[in-house]
Amino acid sequence: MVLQPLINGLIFGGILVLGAVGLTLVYGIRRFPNFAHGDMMALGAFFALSFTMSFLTVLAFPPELMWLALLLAMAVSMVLMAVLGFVLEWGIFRRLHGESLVRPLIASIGLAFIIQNVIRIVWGTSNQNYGFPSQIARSLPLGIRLTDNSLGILIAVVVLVLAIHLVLKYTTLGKSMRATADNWDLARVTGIDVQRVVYATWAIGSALAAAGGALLGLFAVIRPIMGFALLLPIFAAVILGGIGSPYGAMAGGLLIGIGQEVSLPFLFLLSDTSVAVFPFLVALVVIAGMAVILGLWLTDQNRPRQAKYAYASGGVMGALATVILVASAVGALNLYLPFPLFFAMGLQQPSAFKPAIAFMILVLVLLIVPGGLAGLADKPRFKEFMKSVSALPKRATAAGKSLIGRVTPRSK
Amino acid sequence: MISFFAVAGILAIATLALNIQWGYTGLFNIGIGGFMAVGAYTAAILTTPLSDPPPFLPGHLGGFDLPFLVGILAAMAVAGLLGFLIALPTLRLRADYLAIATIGLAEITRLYILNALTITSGTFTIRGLPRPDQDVSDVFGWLTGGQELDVGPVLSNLIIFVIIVVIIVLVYVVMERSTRSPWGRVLKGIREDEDAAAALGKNTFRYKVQVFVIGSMIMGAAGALFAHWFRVAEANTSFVPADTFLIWIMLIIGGSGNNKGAILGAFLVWGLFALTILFTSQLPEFLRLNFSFIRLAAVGAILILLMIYRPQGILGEERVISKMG
Repeated sequence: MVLQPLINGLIFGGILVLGAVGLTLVYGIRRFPNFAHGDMMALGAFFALSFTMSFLTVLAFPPELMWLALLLAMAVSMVLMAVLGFVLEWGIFRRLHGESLVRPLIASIGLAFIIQNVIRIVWGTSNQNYGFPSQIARSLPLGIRLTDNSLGILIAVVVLVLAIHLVLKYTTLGKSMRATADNWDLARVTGIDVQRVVYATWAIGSALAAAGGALLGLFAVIRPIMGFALLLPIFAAVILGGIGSPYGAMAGGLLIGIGQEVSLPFLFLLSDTSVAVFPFLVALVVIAGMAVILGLWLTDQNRPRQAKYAYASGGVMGALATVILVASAVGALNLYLPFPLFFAMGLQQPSAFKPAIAFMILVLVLLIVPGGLAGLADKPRFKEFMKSVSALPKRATAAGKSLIGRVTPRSK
Repeated sequence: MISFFAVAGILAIATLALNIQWGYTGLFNIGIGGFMAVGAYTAAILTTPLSDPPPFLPGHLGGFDLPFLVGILAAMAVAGLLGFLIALPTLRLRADYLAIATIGLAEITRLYILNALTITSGTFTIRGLPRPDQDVSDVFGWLTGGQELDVGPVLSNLIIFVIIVVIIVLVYVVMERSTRSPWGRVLKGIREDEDAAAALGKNTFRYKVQVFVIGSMIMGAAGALFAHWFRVAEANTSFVPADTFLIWIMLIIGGSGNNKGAILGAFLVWGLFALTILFTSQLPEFLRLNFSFIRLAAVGAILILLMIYRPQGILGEERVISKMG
């Protein structure tokens, strides 16, 4: 029961990872936020939907092989979207390259409007799905329930992320992509065909977006406006991970996904308790703690394993301590004040409020570490701070031991 | 016809507000709808008289029956506070962070409004906002020593229209004056080269927060006027991202950094938008059914074409030459 939201978050987070990696690659190389990325995911989903349907009817796939039809449709959709990404760069964004990031940014918003409304015109405004028969979730140990669809999503995400990792690390294209993201001019001077790299980045990013959108159709319904709803979580993931860092975006996507699903029960509490804001704070603190832990884990690759565990326990302790402090403060205030400190937010439909979690995390990241997880590596002061925090329990035990040693006479 | 000019006027106020943020200072705010929605609902909660909730609904916060002016001022205050809160973490960073944060803020605001049943009555909207009729007739009675002013529907439209025009003129004059002042020159300096402005000893962050809050307040007022004009505060179809970008198109077409252009752009674009409704009925069925979608897609296409071919708009920026001596 406890782990179920975590698993749901992992699945949704995996889908966000696909969107966020594509967005962050284009963002890092083209240096502008592509506000059409969410709608490109939606378009990918609708392509996949149409091709699945036509494979089933035209090619007469038997119903048992429906997943194969979907897989093929997803591949076709990815190819189509890759071509579209290439065309977009060639037709629009190539002409807007320059000092200002505002011109391509506004153009991307225009593009989002076009894609969203073309979807509404072509596929209609109603919610759709692949028409898979409803599945019985299989029970796993620890009370986790997982449907075949969810399992398929997880496998697909792992395969795609692995593929991206291999491309970035081991191919010439991946290396030139990272070089161009680091320094456009320097990459050109060293003989990289920058424009070609940009085209490739658009194609890869769009294909990943298509895959993410298609997989989201397995997790939830396919809605024409889902692109806009996706925009906030993927941007939150990109900023949490650090703009331009694909590995940061992967971590960010997972964290945002898990954060949204884990806080859902708290959002339900929000709808009618009088100290409603309090569980919300708890969720936020826990998520922030998780982010810090994972950030340090990712950025400190040279540290020994014991040190990493020390960091992790420090982060958890810090988060717990904050929760207990805040909880007791709020509790005390609510006991002794003649009026409730916080009003109930009275949410009509708490689950619709989920993007707010992503937004809260985004604002927190902007306040604390604008560079995101990838930027943490460059902050020695922050590292020192975390080190002292993680050393706190050790020092506390040492202090406690010495205190006990002083009070009780040593027995012989 | 008066409806057209009133709505265009309200949009012109919001466009002027965007002009001081983007046109003069270069602050990329794409959450205009959110600030307007906050203004609209603040005014709705404060000025709507008490009424029984519809069946099966808990009823929303409100029923304070306060005067029109109090509602507008409160709308400005709340929208300004929201702008202040979002300005603090984002205005120290690059422009794209502000863009992402504001579009997120607008969406979260709308989600909250559509969800908070006991405060904003969610998707059921707040109806029955008063027009400033009672206030005007009170003032009339006070001026003439007790005479009654009978406000009919025509006069009611006229009163709020005059108020809108007065606010446009007020905002325009204040902006023209302030942007030509030393304060306004610092803003342009920030837009052109923030590092240079900072090197000259200006606290650019403080200026940016000031501008952002002022712009947000004016947007809040515009939202409140919008709700008063239609006598309803609703976030189902209004204050959506499309509205935000309609205002952006108005400013870009009019020419950012140009107050006259902002007003002209608002009336021009709203005019085109309204004209398209006139000939909708003559279109073939497919086009007619998808008309609103085609129009929104056209909005997107216009944005892209403007960015590629004419980013400075029709009028372009007004050149201001400082007078010597």
